[in-house]
Amino acid sequence: MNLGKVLRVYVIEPIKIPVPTSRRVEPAEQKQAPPVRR
Amino acid sequence: MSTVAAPDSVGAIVGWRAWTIAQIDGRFRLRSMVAPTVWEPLQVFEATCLRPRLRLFRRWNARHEAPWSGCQCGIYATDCVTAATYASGPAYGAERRVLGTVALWGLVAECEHGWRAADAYPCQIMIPEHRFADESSMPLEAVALDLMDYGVPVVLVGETELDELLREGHTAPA
Repeated sequence: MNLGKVLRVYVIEPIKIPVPTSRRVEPAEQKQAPPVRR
Repeated sequence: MSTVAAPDSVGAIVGWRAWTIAQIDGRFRLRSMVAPTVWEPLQVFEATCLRPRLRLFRRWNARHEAPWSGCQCGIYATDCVTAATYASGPAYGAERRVLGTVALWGLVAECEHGWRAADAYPCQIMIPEHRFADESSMPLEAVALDLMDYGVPVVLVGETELDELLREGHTAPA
C-alpha cells in the first residue's frame, strides 16, 4: 500500500484501550485537527 | 523522522485498515497483511521498522523510530474504500481478511492517502461474512467469537453492505 508523501506529523497522547466506539472521529473531523508543525 | 516539541491535544486519529486472520495458539487473531506481526487483544500495537532486518537494507538504514519520514514503516491506516478493497480483494490461499476502524496515536504521519502511526488499537472489527462462508478451517462464528477478545464491537457485514461501504466511503486526508 502506498500512502503517498508525508504531509504533516502529529504527536497524539496515548489513549486507553479498548477504544470506546463513542470516541470515534470521522475523517472529516480529522482534517480539521490542528497539526503540530515540524 | 524528527519529533515535534509540543504534544498535540487532539484525540486519537481513527482510520480504516484491513487485517489477515491468523490462528495463534488455537485462537483467531488479527495479523498484519504484509508482515507476520500479530495484534494481541488488549495490548497496544506498537510499530517497529522491519526493514533493517532485511540484509539488503542493513547498510543503508540504521534502527529508527517508526514511523520515519525516510522509510515506509509505521502502522498503516487509510480510508474505508481502500480498506474494504483490501478486505474483499483476492486473498492468497486460505488467507481470510477483515476490516475495521483503528485508533492511531503517538507519532502519526499524515500522508496523502492515509496515516502511518507509532501506536494503534482496533476500534471496530467488521467481518465480511461471505468471505468466510465456505471456509471450514475458519468458521465464521469461531472467528467472530475469538475477535471479541479485543474488547471492541465485532460486526458481520454482508456483500451488499461492503459494496455500500465502497460506494459511500469516506476519504483519506486530502
